[in-house]
Amino acid sequence: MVDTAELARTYLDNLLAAQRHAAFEVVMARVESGLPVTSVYMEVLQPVMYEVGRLWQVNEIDVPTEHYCTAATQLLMARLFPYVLERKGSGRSMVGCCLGSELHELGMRMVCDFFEFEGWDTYFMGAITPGPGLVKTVVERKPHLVCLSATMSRGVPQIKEAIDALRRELGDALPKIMVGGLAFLMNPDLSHRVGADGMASDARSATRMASELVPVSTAYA
Amino acid sequence: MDKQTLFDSAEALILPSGNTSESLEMYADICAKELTAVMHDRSELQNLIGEGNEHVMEINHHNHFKYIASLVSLYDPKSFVETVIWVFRTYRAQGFQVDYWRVMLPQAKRVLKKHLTDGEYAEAVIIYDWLFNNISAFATLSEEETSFYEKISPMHEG
Repeated sequence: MVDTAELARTYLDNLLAAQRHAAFEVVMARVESGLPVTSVYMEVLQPVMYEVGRLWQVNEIDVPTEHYCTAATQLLMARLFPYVLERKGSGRSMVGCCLGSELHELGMRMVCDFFEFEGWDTYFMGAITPGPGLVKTVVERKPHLVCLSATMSRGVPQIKEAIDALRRELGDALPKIMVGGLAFLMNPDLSHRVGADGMASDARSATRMASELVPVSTAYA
Repeated sequence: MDKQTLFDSAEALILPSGNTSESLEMYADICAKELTAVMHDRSELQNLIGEGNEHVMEINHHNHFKYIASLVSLYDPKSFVETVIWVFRTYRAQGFQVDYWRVMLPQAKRVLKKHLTDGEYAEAVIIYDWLFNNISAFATLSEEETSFYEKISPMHEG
């Protein structure tokens, strides 16, 4: 059984030493030996990225190092995709993004990947997505679910503004809306205040909640 | 003063109106530039922010006004207190001194007064006066406690 805590530490130590290839090799070796990609996301990459954020906050690493670790992790996530046995054809679709000033997109990328693993059709729009752009995309693509993420609390009013705009534009045709990110973990009550249908604390719980918000039967209704 | 007392105190603040939030957002960039210029004129600036931190200060001023605008548009006392603790810890780790906020907040008020209407300024100043009056509390909390964003890391042994 793989000790994912130890794997996370080794992965992080290699990144901090700017040894990206070594960092990838140690993770890929475990995946090729049977460690599920979902476990890599939840038990290695997520804790490592939280720790990278903490190290920057306490000034133990600088901004370039933090960016290096983030970029490397994004690259690793892309390499892990072929190792996932995707479930096909759930018939459901989602749009995911970080709005306005929100730069921290890695968590939402993980969420969208988990949805992809579960057979959802996903449309990931990344960071600093303009609110009007989100509305236009939702009107055009008609997803069953919209997922919005905020790491910093400044992003929460931007999410509320976008949800209000979606509600004005779509009325009864409004898709389900889920929010997440550290700003909502800090105070989960904010998910009600912004008008979301639910809040998830991580990628795995996001897909579970989505199955309740948008059952498969809904997709074919 | 403990964190709960700060939460309770923040919860009791009378919130600015929607117009004030819009004006704060509209003038955020110009206020940040003016505040930075004012702080640059301070002879004691290096003592306040540490060597080589002028660019960090500039970013902070930009983020500050944008944050205050967002705070008053959707006010959440819990997030407010946690965010200020995080600001104090993060910037102090970079070399900023507590006296930086004792100088910066009144200067930020002066800059805002130039751009907001009298009514908008009277509303915004509630937030600034509360922050200024609680600088010591935040300074102590930022020394005694890790911020929310640090606590979230399961790899931190502390």
